[in-house]
Amino acid sequence: MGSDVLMQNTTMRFDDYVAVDNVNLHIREGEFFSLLGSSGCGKTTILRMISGFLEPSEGKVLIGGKDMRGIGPNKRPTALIFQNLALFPLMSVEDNIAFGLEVRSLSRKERMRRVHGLLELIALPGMGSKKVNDLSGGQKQRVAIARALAVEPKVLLLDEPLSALDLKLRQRMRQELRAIQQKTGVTFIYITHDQGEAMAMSDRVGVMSQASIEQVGTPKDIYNSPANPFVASFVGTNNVLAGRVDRIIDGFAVVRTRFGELMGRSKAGVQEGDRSLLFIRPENFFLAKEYDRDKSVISSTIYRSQFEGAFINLFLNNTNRSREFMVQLANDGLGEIPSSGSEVRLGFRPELALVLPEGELANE
Amino acid sequence: MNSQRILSLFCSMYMIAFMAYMLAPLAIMAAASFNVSSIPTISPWKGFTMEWFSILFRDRILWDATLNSIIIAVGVILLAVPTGLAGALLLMQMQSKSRNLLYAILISPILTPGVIVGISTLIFWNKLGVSGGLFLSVIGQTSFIASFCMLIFMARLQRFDQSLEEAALDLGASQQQVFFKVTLPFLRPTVLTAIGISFLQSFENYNTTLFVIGAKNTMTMRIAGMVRLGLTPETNALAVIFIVLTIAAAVAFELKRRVEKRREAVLKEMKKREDAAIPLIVSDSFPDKMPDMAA
Repeated sequence: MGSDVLMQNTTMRFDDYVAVDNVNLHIREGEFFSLLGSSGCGKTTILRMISGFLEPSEGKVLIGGKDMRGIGPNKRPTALIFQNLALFPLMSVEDNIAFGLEVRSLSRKERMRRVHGLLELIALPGMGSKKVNDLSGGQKQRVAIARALAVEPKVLLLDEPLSALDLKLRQRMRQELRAIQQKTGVTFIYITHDQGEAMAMSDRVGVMSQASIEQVGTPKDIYNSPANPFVASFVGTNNVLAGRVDRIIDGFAVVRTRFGELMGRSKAGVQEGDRSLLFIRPENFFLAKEYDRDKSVISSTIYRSQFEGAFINLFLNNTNRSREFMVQLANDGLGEIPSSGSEVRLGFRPELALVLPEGELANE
Repeated sequence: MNSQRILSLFCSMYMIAFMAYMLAPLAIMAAASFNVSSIPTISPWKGFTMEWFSILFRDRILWDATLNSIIIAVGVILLAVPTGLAGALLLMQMQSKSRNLLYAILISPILTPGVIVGISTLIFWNKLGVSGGLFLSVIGQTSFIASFCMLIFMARLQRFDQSLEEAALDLGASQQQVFFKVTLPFLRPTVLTAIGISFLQSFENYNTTLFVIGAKNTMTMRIAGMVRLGLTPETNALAVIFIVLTIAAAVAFELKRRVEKRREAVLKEMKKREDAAIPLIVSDSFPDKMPDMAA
């Protein structure tokens, strides 16, 4: 039996509320897949449909090609790591890890053999007899992972398991989760609202807006080639300029914006004369020289200049109060630092700017 | 004297009066059990005796009644604790609007006067050809003691983390395994509490039992009978035994609690270990292969 997960036209309704709306998703065998979205977007609902705690209102969930309808969470080849970990507080570390083996009636000797192997794997050998409440946060995290791996799941589901840890530990656990995934070859489906986590660990990321999936791709894809304005504005920081497409030349669109005519890579669906959005990331700007081409230079007044050490953040005068226009210049340690109130000419390479058809943006 | 001192003086006097009000009757009652006088009193003091205790221990009727009380209490525990637990589990899982109605029905036996519970139990079972006795006493008492148990279990279940049951289910446990391996161990201290409270409720019950006990006797019924026929210090001697047992139980409980508290403090100290102290899993320290997991 394979371990890929397929969701076909899956919809989940709670009374009148649509939590997941006609989602199609294929998670490949052995990959580290993240579902990235803000809270309440339906990502946990998807996880609970895969693990079997919820039956989809419409559509199917297939694991390894097998339709999972009517199969309970205790009969599915999945294991879930809960947000609060849900370790059994009255049991020792050993008994927690062995729980899934005990309910499968494995002999005590066999159980202990596997538990010791897993304690090695999570680098907590000899801790088996401890009570879970006597463990630190990071140790609990590892025990939860071992407990889930003990039942040899085809698919491991993780529901923001790092959110309770402090920043430093969280960053270390990212590497460790990734390492465990690569060693075991188990398909990981990771739910998070933290972009850094999703980017750092995943083979592929699915970006969710309200109830549906906006784009699935490698971290590089969703950052560099967002499929629509939602993903472009949700992933990372991005500046948006609205305007009308004047003309399209060789895959580049010239858009008339409030900074004049600007040029960017044109994505499918952009038509001459249509309203569109031009996206330029803050780090893609540089201080322009006089001879730089006009269609990739903007002139503006800086209303705030922020020195951050490695970077200098410039905020430009902006008529759109809800969205800041930010430019991030690398500090080379030699050049002038533009000050607040000064006029500045900022250039960008048109290949790094993106023109997309008008659409909904993510909330800031 | 300033007002602060007047207030504190007043408080101490109030405390003394309060304690005297609570404890003086018990002290006088206990002292009377050692008085030679054949009516329970401490004045006049006719001399110290243990005679009333030996009369108490020779009172066959009273001990038979006590045995009946214990039999009924055990029967009530066996019926009321599982029934109360089942009711609590049901109510905690219900989401629909009928939950409130069912809740009201299930706790109504507590709100009904015991006399009514007793009479209606007797009438109902008489129609079925069962007359009063130990069996009907168990049934009658269970009808409201089960409700007490249910409330106790509900209070505990409110603090239960539902994700533990989900985790167990997710790891492959059947519903029964989830109940016996996760839910019930969590409820274990509460089961003991429910047993204790059921026992006491049953043991001291009078007004329901009065109607359903038939020709038999329980300890409370027997004491009530003794009061009617003229009280002797024998009753006081019995009360002294109960007081001593109660105090012993309370002291034992408190000692146990202190030992556990000390143990927890030690564990907390041990836990103050930095996460950084655990070795890293990544790459190098990782075993090359997953441990062999072939079943």
